[in-house]
Order: sequence, then structure tokens, then C-alpha cells
Amino acid sequence: MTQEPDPLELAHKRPQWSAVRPLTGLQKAGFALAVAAVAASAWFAPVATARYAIAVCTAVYVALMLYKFLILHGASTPKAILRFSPEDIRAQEPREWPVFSILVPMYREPETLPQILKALRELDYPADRKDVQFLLEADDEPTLKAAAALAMPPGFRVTRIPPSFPRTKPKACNIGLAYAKGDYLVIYDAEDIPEKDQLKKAVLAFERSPGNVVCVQSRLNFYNATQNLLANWFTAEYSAWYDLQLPGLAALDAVIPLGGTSNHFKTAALRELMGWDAYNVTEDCDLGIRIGRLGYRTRMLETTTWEEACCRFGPWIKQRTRWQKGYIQTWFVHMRNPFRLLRELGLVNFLHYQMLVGGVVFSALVNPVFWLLTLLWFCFQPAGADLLFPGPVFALGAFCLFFGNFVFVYVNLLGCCARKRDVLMPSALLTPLYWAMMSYSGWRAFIQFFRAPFVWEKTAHKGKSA
Amino acid sequence: MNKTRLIRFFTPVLLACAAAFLYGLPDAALPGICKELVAGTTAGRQALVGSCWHAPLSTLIYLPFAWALPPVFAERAGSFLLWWFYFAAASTLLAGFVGWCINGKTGHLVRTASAGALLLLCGAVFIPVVCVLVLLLPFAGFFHRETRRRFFAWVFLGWLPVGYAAGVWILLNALILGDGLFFVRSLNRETLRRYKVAQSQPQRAGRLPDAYCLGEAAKYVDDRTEYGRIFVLGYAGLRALAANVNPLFTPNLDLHLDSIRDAYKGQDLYFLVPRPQGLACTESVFWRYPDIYTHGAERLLFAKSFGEWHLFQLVQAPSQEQLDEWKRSRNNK
Repeated sequence: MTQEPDPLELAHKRPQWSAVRPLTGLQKAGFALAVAAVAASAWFAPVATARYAIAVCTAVYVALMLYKFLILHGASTPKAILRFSPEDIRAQEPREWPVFSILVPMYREPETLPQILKALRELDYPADRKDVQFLLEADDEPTLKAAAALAMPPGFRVTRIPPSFPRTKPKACNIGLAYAKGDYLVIYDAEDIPEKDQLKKAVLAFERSPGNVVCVQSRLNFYNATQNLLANWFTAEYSAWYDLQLPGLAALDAVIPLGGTSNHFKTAALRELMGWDAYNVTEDCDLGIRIGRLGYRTRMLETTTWEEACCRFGPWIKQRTRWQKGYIQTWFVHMRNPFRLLRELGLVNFLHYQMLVGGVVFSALVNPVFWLLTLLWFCFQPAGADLLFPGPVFALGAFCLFFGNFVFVYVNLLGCCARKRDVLMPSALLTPLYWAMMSYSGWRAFIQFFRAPFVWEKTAHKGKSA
Repeated sequence: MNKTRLIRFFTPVLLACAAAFLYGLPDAALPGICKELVAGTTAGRQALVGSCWHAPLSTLIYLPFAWALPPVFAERAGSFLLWWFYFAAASTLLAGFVGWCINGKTGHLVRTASAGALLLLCGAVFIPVVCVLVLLLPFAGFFHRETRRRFFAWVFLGWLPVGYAAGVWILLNALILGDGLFFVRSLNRETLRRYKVAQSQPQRAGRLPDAYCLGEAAKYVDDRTEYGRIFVLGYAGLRALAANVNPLFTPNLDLHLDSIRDAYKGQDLYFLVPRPQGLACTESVFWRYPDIYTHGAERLLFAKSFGEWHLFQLVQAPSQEQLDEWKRSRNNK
């Protein structure tokens, strides 16, 4: 009799690494204490408190800006990304390719099923070496029906996920992981269209990398980049993130917050990591950090998976809220014992972690405050502003405002250029408006983190044909 | 580290060491500007952005040194870092441009454009070469088949950093000084002619130190009034005031006699004007009041000369309090 897989294994066996408890008692006490201290300080010495807060925030902004430069410099080095040409792949043939498991978690997306099926069928990989699982919720009748109506090729199967709390993608993936037969494993979203030679490139990447490389992340980009302004911005952001920043991080040997799809794993290592945290709503980011904590590494692979950009305001906000909430969850989970995290990641990766995970949340939350201050200053030039911005802080603040923001916009332009999507460049200039949306979703995420930490706001996809 | 990298790393370092040793700070007004910036004064903010000859990026680079270190160490460390920065940025600009022309790699274009933007903010000396090279960047893309068709992208990536840097400088001038082009006003024909003439004249021998001149001026004013205030004009004034702590002196970058008179009613106001020589020719006070050093201006009467400085007194009607006090003292007599 085979044992039923436990999709909550991480939460059961290593609860300290799971977001099952979003905040520990100590963290709650620390958080309350910090809020109380700031409130008391603001009550008794409002100007001094504001001045120190502004100085600290400015210092963080400067650090984030310099960090961006560092990453970009890393991105320009040859070891930023693993590249394999068609000739490299052809030189391998004929050979026995390892079994590659493909997980496709889906929920109420019957219309995308034909598209992903076609994309997976067309992957240039021996058919008998593909082990494809469509992970469908047992109560998702429409998708189950659509799957039943399609002729599944050999090696393709549907795995039913029993309905239980939490209803999250990582939980489904954990069940898929338990039934996976491959030496390697990859996740694709329902609307994904991976490049045809991606699996072979991933195998070569693993074979030619050191043994501690257990994950290879593909680049993600959108096939509907020009649909509207939001799609333009989203594409510019993704291009900068996957084509420049993540390769830069890989070149720096940093921990990498994984993307939600097209990450290829060594199955054994993934099982050792106990899969994904079913309670974390950005399980990919969390897994990337855990890979680093166990001394493993992630590399970037030059191959693209084409996705569908969420290009309507409401769904975009919901999707981004989930991502940012997940970043908050991840930050708190791994900061439960900062000293242990420091020991496991090492100082450099600890700082990377703070910048990558903490920095994203910090910027989203704090940006509106500074925009408001800037707006007030531009409009009214209030007399008391001098008190809040002592000389050096004013100079650094102005430097961040004018040059830091520009650097972030320019990075997006570079991303468009690297992707050869010059047509998106004018839209990328308007990225600051996109940041305002990110801040809105950031605050939404922050509030949701305390009120509904496990709520998974699902992004609906219609597929390329739609 | 390979040989090329070593050369690339050590050349600017050695050049910077030599320049720092030979010339010291590239801009003598920097300590004064930074002092005001640290103090958070309006003059400091105006000085940060108000002249293309005393450019903002140099000030910002020097600022942490001025803030954290005693002046002697700050000047040494700051001058080395500034020179290093200039050499590194200039070599990046040139190497990037040549690399872009030869290889057509985006990285070279980006490096050229970024170095250009930084150098633009380092002062008027760099502006011509930056403008020429950066303007040529997108056209250099025609040298290669793969870059030829993306002119639009190269315009964006090549011109944007420099255009943005210039735009920010203009914006800050508009916000802080009320005139977007304040920092380049000195680039007019008359000022440049004066500058050239001043440069061609030999340095005056036996020049009195600024600190001594300021001390004498303070004594002169203190002897005459209890309510005195001396405005020391321009970047030359900031340079002179760098080590001065006497509250009698107030630096002034943007001379508006009427607003000063309104703001300091009841005080006896004096103005120390530097001799228009060298870079001082480009001070805003001289393109506003070209003959101020020799003839003063409306309501400004020559008081006394202190070395290279002329002291002027602002003539204004006495305030009611002053009149009352004078009446009282006359009655007492």
C-alpha cells in the first residue's frame, strides 16, 4: 500500500520554515514594541522622530540604488547566464535524455488547457521521457471536463488535488512532486508557452554546473506585451527582472527569489527541501531562499517561457498584492532567527536577502510617503521642511529622488532593449505611474498579511488565442 | 586580476594621486558649499546647483568628507576621490564611445551615456566633450549591421541620461533659484570675455589672505554699528567663509538687494564683493551688476577695500526702533 503524499510536509516537519504561522509570538511582540516605540517617540518628539525616520529611509534608498548598480554590473559579466546554442544541443545527440517531470497546476482555467497541451507536446524532448502532470483541483469540474475531453498523449496525466485548506498552488505542486517520476522537474503555469528546446537546455545546464546547483530558472516574458499600457509596463519590468537583474544576481552567486514558473529542479534536491511551502503565497520566492539556506545554488538559463501579462487594473492589483504579501511572509519566515539565517546564508547572501525581499516591500510601502512629502514641498515649500531634512539628508534625498528613480526607469529601458522590444521604451518612461500601482498593492498586501495571510487571489488567464 | 584590468584600475588612481598632490581640491569653494549644505542653509542649496562652474556632483561627492572628517583630512581624501572620479568617468566615457563605435555592444553605449551624464554634472569643463560624444552615440550605431536598425533605441538609451541630468539641473535651478537657467547665465559673451581677460592677467603679488580680510571687515563694521550684517557674495564668499564662524557674515549666492533689505529691516547691511578675477568673473553678481566691484550698485556705497574685497554699505532709511534709540541716546547726551 503506497503512502498518501503529505502536501503540507514542510509545515509539519519544519514549521519554523513555513508560513503556517505568519508571525511567531516573539515577532508579534517585537513588531508591537517597535510600533509602540515609534509612536511614543513621535508623540514626545515628533520632529526628531520624523527626522531620524527620514534619514534612515534615505540611507536605505541609497543602499538600494547602489545595489541596483551592483546587480547591473553583475549582469554584464559572462557568468550571469548559462547559454546553450542549438549546436550545443545537436552535439549531444544521440543520447539518452533523463525523464523530465512537468507540473502544470491549474484552477478554473479550462480555456488555456489546449494551449498548454500543445506547447508541452511541441517541446523538443523525447515523448517517452516526458512525465507531465496536470494538477487539477478535484472540485474544479470545468477544467476536469476539458481535460477529459482532450486526447492526452502518453506520459501526460491528470492528478486530482483533494480539496483541503490551504487551497494554494504550492500545495498542488507538492502532491505533483510526490508523484513525479523524473530526475528533473519543472513547473509551468496554465498559460505558459516555453521555448521548444528549454528542457534540453535545462538538462545541459544541470550537467555542466557544479553539483550544488539544484535549480535553473528560465527567463519569463509576455506574448501580449503590446496589448495595452499596463502590459507594456509589466513587460518592461519582467524584461529588466529576468533578463538583467536575476542574471546579475546569479553572477554574484546570490540567493535568487525564483519566478513562479519555468524553474527547473533536480527532483531529489527538491524533495530534500520538502517541496514548496503550501502556506506561502509566493512559494517560489521562499523556495529560492531555502535553496540558499541549504547551501544550494540557482542559475539562470537563456531560454524564455512566454506568458500572458495580466493587463487589467483590478486583476493586476490582486496578483501584485499576492506577490507582495508573499514577500512579506517570506521575510518574516526567514527572519524568525536572523542569526541562524546569517550563519546559513553567509553575510553577503544575508544582505542580498534583505535587499531583495525586504527592499521590495520597503520601497512599496515607503515610496508614497516620500512622494507625498515631495509633492508638498513642490507645491507649498513649507517652512518646516528644513527641520526634517538636515543638510546631508537633503542632499542624499535629492540624489535618490532625481537619480535613484531615474536609474530604476533606465533599468527598465535596458530591459526593453535587451529583449529587442524598442517599441515599449516610451511606455517604460512612464514607469513611475506603475510604481504608484505597486505601492497601492503593497499597502493592500501589508494589510492583508495581518487580516488574511493565506488568501490566494487567483489571476485568471485566457490564453494566447483570447 | 589580468593586466588590462590592473592598468584600467591603477591608471585613474595614479593620475588622481598626482592631481590631488599638485592641485588639491579641484574647486576651492567646495568646503564652503558643503559647510552651508550641512548647516541646511538656503545659500548652501543655491550653491549646490547655482553654477555650472561649481557643479553639483562634485559637491555631493565631497559632502560626506566635509561632514564626517576634520577639514585637513577631508580636503586630502576628498580631492583624491574627486580627481579619481573625474579620471575614471572621463576614461569610461571615451573608452565606452570607442567601444560602441568598434563593437556596437549596448554595454558600451550605456557606459558612455552614464559617464556622460555624471560628467555633465561635474562642471562646465566637461560639458562640451560630453555633449559632442553623446550626441554622436545613436549615429555611431550605423557602423554595425545589427545596431543600424535600432536608431530609436540608441537615441533613448544614449541621450536620456544626459538629457535627464540636464533637465534635473534646470528643474532644481527653477525651484531653488527661481530661474531654470541660472546656472548657465554666466556663459554669456561678456562674462566669458572678462574671464579670459582676467585669466590672461598675471596673479597679483602680495595678496592678503581671505581670513584676514574678513577679520578686518568685521572689525570695521563692528566699530560702526551694533546691528551690522555682512553679506559675502558668491562662491568666492563661500570659499572665504569655509573656516569662518563669525555670525556677522552671511553668504549670499543670489543677490536681490530689495528682498534682503526687506528681510533684514533695521540692520546695517554691508556687502563684501570679491574682485572679478579668475572664476569669480562668472559669479552671478557680476552678470547681474557688471560694475559692482568698481562702482557699486543702486543704494550700494563703497565703504572700504580689504585686500581683494570691496565692502559696500546698503543705504536705507532707519527703522523706527533705530530712530527711537538715536533719539534716546541724543537726549541722554
